[in-house]
Amino acid sequence: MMGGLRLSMAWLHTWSGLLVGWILFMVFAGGTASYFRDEITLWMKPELHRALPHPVTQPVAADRAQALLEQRAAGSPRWFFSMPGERNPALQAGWIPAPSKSAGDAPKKRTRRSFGSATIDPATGVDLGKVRATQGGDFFFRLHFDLHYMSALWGRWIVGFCSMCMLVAILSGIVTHKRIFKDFFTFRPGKGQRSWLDAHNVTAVLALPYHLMITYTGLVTLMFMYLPSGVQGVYQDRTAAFYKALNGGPGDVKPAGVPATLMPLGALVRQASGIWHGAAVGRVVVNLPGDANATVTLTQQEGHGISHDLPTITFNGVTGALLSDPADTSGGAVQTRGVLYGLHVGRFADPLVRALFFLSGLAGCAMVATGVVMWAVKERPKHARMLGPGRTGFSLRLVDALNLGSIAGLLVAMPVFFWANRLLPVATQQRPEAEILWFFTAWGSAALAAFVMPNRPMWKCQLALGGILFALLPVLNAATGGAGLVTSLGQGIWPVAGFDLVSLALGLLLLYAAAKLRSGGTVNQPAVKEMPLAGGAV
Amino acid sequence: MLSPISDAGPTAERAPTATLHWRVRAAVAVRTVAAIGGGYLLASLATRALAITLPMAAVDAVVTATLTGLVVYPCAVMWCFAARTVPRACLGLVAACALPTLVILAHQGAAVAR
Repeated sequence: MMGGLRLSMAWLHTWSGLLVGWILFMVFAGGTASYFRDEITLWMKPELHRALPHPVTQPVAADRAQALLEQRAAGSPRWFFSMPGERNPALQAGWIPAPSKSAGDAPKKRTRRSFGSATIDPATGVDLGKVRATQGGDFFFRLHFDLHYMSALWGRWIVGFCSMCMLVAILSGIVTHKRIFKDFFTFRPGKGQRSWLDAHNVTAVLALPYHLMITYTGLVTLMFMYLPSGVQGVYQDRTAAFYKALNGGPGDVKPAGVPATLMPLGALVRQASGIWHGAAVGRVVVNLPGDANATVTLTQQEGHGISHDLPTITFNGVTGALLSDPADTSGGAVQTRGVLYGLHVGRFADPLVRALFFLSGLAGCAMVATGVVMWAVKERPKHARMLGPGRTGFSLRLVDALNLGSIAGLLVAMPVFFWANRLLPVATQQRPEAEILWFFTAWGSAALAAFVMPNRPMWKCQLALGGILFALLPVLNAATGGAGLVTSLGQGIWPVAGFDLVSLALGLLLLYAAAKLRSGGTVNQPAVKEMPLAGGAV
Repeated sequence: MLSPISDAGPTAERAPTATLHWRVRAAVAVRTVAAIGGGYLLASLATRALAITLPMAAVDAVVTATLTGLVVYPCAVMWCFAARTVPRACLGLVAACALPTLVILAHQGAAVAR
């Protein structure tokens, strides 16, 4: 429409990007933070920083977990635990509680809270016990596709819609773009709208393959929910059969009702590693422990391939007989989906690749932030022409406020979440929800302030506040029982040291951006370019 | 008629151009509905048609079809805004939907005949 392909695509790019940009910034920031989900969770449990267990071999760790679970979760229909690894040195175990004797009650919906869980020192088998309850890094992970304070289903549809708009924005952005390669090297700072466009182009083009990949693969993770017509067309109402064919593995087993002793799990772990040519075990699920029909399913540890569909092996839990065929491989398309899924979650990545993904994610945040800010910068002179100098119409004021509230506001709320984690009393009732309430209270307050005063001083104020809160996280960590930088660097506790250093860097970046923002200035002059480049999160 | 909407905010407050903008807005609204609703319909039909016809294992066919459908959707959206006129945009969409619909119907017919 409207005068040629390039112009119509420019129009589509602007609007499909702007209208979902405020949610997308949160999705990008939350997703970027999720690359360090395990590290964030560890940081938020300072009790574990110093009690870091000595590494032991995997079979030993599995036997320790088994000993504790037999004691604590006898009669449970299912145990599961994840092996300690470089990124999470403790062993995390969980179980479904044994069915209560008072059967006949209305079947209660199973919630997360109804699972038992323990954090175990793999060397001694001791329950590390008094670890504070927190969602940790899982909060940002869930937030970035489930949202919060609404059903996960609604959240996923909303995020899916926004992601599809994002994909449209990226594709139409490529069409409308004349000089992809040249823009790579173009940055003209301090030139108003031109600088914003350059910043948007640099952050978008620099990491373009990443942006395309992460948006498409994000949709792939939930594609059978978003686009179920293929599954329905072939499998009709037998969707369970489809998921079984997709995910593989043996089906559910029925209890025999005959007690039998479970094999030592350490031996099965050793055997699985042998079949995998030495690759480590990541996750162990024991179905019907203590029953004659017990099965043990072991999943390979991440990091031996990109695909999300990790190799699994199932043993009979009593005899140790192999129940699955390790040579059984899935078809090409299913494997492709596994790789796409794996690319999105990035759990295969070693520290360097993980850092590059993190930086690309930050570039994504910056791309979204510069994009929505640029709309306001372009619009401002028109309003000034129409309504008089310095005046803004309703639409621009709304966009200004949403930009401020969703970008700067989130950069205040994220560190507040970490501060709440350390400052709320450990014994607080429903502690994880309390931390989350602090996050949203901070974000809501910042957004409210943004609507009252959507202007430069408010940007400066919120960026500075976010910067201070981020930059002081290492101090807070050391002061509230965590391993401070001196300890963590000295003893090589890298996940904790990394969190502190990245927080410090982000904090300083935000403070620099706040300082560079000219507080007065004519309204027509945009804010300084460094600001949105800091638009990321730990 | 260059980028009508981005000018519509402030200029809409000036009465003389209001009718033009009303028509432009209606055109944009139709394109948007066609893009979101029609695009999804096309993506769903294409996914279903591919899933039932691709010559591979059922699960692989479904996965391939759905991966393709995710690309069909944004392309359909772009078509709806790239087409020169609104009727053209809608007709193109209908034409694109016809092929997978025929495939699905033929497939169903064959299944009944068997």
